[in-house]
Amino acid sequence: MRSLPPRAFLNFFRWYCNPRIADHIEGDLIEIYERRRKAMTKRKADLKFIADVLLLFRPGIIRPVHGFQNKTKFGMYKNYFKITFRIFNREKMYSLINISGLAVGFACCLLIYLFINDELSYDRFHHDGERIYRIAGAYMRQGQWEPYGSNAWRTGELIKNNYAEIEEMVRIMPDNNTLFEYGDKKIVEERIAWVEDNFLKVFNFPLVKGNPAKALKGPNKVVISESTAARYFDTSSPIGKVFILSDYPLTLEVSGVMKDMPANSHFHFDFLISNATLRQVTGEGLFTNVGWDSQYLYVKLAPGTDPAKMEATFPDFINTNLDFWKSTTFKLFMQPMLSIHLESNIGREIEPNGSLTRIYTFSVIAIFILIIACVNYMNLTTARSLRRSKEVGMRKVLGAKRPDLLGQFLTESFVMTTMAVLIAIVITFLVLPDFNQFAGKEISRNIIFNPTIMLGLLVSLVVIALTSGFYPAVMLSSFRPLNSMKGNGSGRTGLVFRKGLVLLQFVISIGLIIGSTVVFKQWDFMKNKSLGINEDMVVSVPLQTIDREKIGSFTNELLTNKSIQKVGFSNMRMPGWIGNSTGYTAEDVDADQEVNKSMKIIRIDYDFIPTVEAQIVDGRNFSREHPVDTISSIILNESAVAQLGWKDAVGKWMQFGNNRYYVVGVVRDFHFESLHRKIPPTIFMFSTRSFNFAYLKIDEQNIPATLAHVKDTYSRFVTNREFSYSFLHQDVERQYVAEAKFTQVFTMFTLLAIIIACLGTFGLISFTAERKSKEIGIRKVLGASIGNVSFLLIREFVVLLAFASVIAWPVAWYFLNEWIQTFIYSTTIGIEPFVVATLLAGLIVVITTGFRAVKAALVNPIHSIRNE
Amino acid sequence: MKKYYLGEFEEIVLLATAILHKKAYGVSIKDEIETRLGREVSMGAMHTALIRLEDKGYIRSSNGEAAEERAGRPRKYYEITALGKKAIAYAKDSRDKMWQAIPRIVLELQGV
Repeated sequence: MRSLPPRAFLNFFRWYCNPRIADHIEGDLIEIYERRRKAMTKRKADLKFIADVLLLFRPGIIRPVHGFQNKTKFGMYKNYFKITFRIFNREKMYSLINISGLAVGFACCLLIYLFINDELSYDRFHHDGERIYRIAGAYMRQGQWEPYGSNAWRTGELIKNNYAEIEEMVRIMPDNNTLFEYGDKKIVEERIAWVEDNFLKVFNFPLVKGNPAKALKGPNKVVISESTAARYFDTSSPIGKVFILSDYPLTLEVSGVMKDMPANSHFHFDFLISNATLRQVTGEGLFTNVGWDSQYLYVKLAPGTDPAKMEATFPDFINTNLDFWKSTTFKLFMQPMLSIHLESNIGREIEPNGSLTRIYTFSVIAIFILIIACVNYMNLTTARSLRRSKEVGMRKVLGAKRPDLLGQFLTESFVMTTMAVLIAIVITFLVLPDFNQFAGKEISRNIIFNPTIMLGLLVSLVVIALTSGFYPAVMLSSFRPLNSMKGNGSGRTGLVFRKGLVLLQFVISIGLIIGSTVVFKQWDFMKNKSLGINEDMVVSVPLQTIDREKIGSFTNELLTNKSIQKVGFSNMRMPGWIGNSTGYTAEDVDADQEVNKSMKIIRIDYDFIPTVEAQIVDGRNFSREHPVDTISSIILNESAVAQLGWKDAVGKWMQFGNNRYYVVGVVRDFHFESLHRKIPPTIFMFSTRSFNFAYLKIDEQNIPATLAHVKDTYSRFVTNREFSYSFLHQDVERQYVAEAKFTQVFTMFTLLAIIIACLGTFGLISFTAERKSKEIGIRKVLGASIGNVSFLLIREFVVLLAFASVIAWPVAWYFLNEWIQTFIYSTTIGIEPFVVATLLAGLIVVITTGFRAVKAALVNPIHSIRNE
Repeated sequence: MKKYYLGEFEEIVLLATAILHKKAYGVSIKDEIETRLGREVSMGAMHTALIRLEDKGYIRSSNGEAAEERAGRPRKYYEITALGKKAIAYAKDSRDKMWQAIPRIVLELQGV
C-alpha cells in the first residue's frame, strides 16, 4: 500500500503554491518522500516532508496575490479590442449602421427618459409632500359626477373646523390680468394668487428676503418672485416697496422675495397676495356662499392620517354642514398633491397638467425604438457571422475555448454599444434645447451628467450590450471548426431567429405607423370638426376693464367700419369652459326628477347668435322688438330641451334663481366648450352688460385696417390695458395644442423608429445579396432577368411584411380603440390607417431593399462565380 | 560587455542541469548536487533557483511524462539554453581570470 505524506501539509502546499508550477514540484516532493519512506520510518519521512514544504514557502513559489493569470488575460483583452477595431475597419458600413442605429435609439430613449423623469419629479421638492392633499369637489350633472379642482372658501372653513386631522389648510385663489404699477412701470400681471398666511409654511418655496412666518400675515402684503423683483426694482431692495393696483384700487407692500417657483411645480405664481387683503376687494358672498368655487383647498394632514377614512366621512359632513348641498348632488374628494400633475385632469385645474397615458405611450415608444436598434445589432452581427466563421474555426483550432470566443464577441458588442452611448449623449446634448422647446420643458443640459442618469446609462449599456451581443456571441462561438473551415453549414444557422427578429421590427414599425396615423386622424378630427357655428372671420376681443355701461357706444363705434359686419357679446370666453350652472324647475317636468340635474348658463346679447352663426331651429333669437326679452326670455340648446323631455319648447317656462323665464327659441347644439367635453344642456340668457368678450364678424377685405380700427376704438374705451384679440378658429385650434404636441412627438419618434428599422433592413439585404452572389450569378447565367433576381432578394422581406401586418393590425387596433374611447368626440379608426401603414412600410421596405437588390442583380456573373 | 547575473547556488543548479543533460528534473538535480557536493539541498531553494534561472532565460523547461512513483504528477525537465551556456562559460572564465591573477605566493602558502 502506498503511504501518503501528511495530507494537511500537502494541502497547505497546494494552497500557497503558484498553480503553474505546483504540479511538478508536488511530483518532486512525493518522489522524494517515497524514496525516504523506504530508507527511514514514516515519522522521520513525514518530518522531512514537512520541512520541505515549509522551506518551499518562499517568494517565487508562492502564488501571486492577485490571480496568477493577470498578464495573460490582459494580453487577451488587448487582443479582443484589436480584433474589434479591425473588424470595425473591415466592415465600415455594417458597423456604421449598427452604431448609428443604436446611438439614435439611445438618444431617443434618453430624451424620453428625461421627459418622463421631469414629469415624475413634479412637486417632489415639498417637505412632507406626501402628506399634502388637495380637496376637490364634484357635482352631479346629468347623472354623472363632474369633478372640479376648486372649492368654496366657506367649504374650506367648515372642513378645517370639523376635521382635527388637518394640520394646516391653505386656500389659494389664482388670479390674472391685473395691472401692477410701481413708479413708471405699469405691467399687466398674469401669475397671481391670493393665499393664506401659512402658504409658505405648507409649501416649500424658500424666501430669499423676508420672514416666511410673517410675510403673508396681515393685509396689503405681497411676496414676489425673484425674477419679478428684478423686473420692477432692478438691483434695489424690493422689501417695503409698494405696488399700486388701480383696478381695485389697492396698494400692496412687498414683504418678501421668494425663489422663482420651480418648473416642476403644478402651479406657478409670481405674486402671492396675503388673503387678508381679499376682504377689501370682494363682497361677503365669497366667504359665506358654499357654492362660490373660488378657492383651491390644500391641506396638510397630521402624520398617520388615512385620507380614505376621511373621505368616507365627507358625505355626512356635506349633508350636515353645507347649506343647500346634499351628498347626492355634491361630493368632496382628496387628491394627493404628488399625483395632481399626472393623474388629475379635472375641471378648473390651475395649470394644464401632464398625463399618465402620455408617459406610458412614450415609455413604450422608447422601449420599441431600443428594441428595434438592438434587433438591428443582433441581426447584422449574426448575419455577418458567415464571414467570420473561418475566423472562429481558426481560433478554435488554435485552442480558444468557448468562453474566450464569447469574450471576443461580447467585447465587440460592448465597444459598439459604448460608442453608441457616447454618440447618443452628444446627440442628446445638442438637441436638448430644441426638444425642450418642442415638449414645453425646461430640462437643463447638466442633468444629463447627473450621477443617476450616468448610472442608468451605464446599466442600460451593460444590459443592452449583453442582450444584443449575447445571441451572436453564443451562435458564433458554437460553430464547429470543421464545418466553418470548410465554409459551409453556418450560413443557415439562426435564419429562423433572424427572420423572427426582422418580423418583430416590422410589427413594431407597422404598429407605430398605424398609431401615429390614428393619433393624427383624431387630432385632425378635433381641429376640423364642425362645431355647429361658423368660426371663420370671427375676432374675439377680451373686454377687460371696459366700462360696461358704455358697451352700446363701443359697439356703435366699432360698426362704423364697414368691414365689421356684426358685433356680439358674451360673458364667457368662447371656446372655453362654461363656469355658471344652475338647478331648475320647469313646466311639465316633475321637480323631483330634475333635482340632481342642472344646466349651464351663458349670457349673451341680441347679436351673439347671428355673429357666430349658430342655427335657431325653433322659435326666434332675442330681439330688440320684444322688450320682454330683456327681462324674462331664454333660449335653450337642443340638449337642454332633450333633458327636459319637451316636445315643443317655445313658450314653456323654466324657473331658476327665483325667477321664471320663458323659452323663446331653441338653438341647434354647438360646441361652446372644447371637444373634450360633451355639449352640456345650456340656457342662453339675455344680458345687456355683464359681458367679458366681444365677438366681431368681419369680412376679408383689408383685415389689418379693420383690426387697426378695432384697436383704435378699444383704446378709447380702455385706457389701462393693452388691446388684444384673437381669431376664433385659431382659439378653437389652440384647445388641441396638447393633441397637436402628442401627434408631433408620436410622429417624430415613429419616424425615427422607422429610420432605424430601415437601416437594419438595408444592412440585412446587403448581407443577403452578398451571400447569394454566387446563386445570383448562376441564375443569371441560366437566363434570369434582373427583375427575377431582384424579386428573389426582396421576396423574403415582402413575405415577412405581410406576416407582420397580420400580427400588428389586431394588436394596434386593440390599443388604439382603447385610446380613442377616452375621447368624447372621436373619429372612427377606420381601415385606412392599417392599409396606409402596411403600404407605407411596404414602400419603405421595397425602396430600401430594392436599390441593393438591383445593384446585386446587375453584377456581372463573371465576377461572382469566377472564384470558388 | 554583457553581464550575466548568476548567484552561487544558481550557478551550481545550472551546472547540475547541464550535467544531467535531458534528464534534469527537480529530484535528479537535487540528487546530483547532493552527491557531487555532499551538501543538503532544500526543495525550496532549488525550485526558487530553477524558476529564477528560467525567468532569466538560462534554462528552459518542458513537461515530461507522469510517473508512478510521483503519484501521477508529471516531471518537468530542464535544459540549459544557449544563453545559459554563455552564462556559465562567463562565470568560469571570470573565475579563471581571477585565479590566474592570484600571486603564486598566496597559493603556495595556502598549500603549506
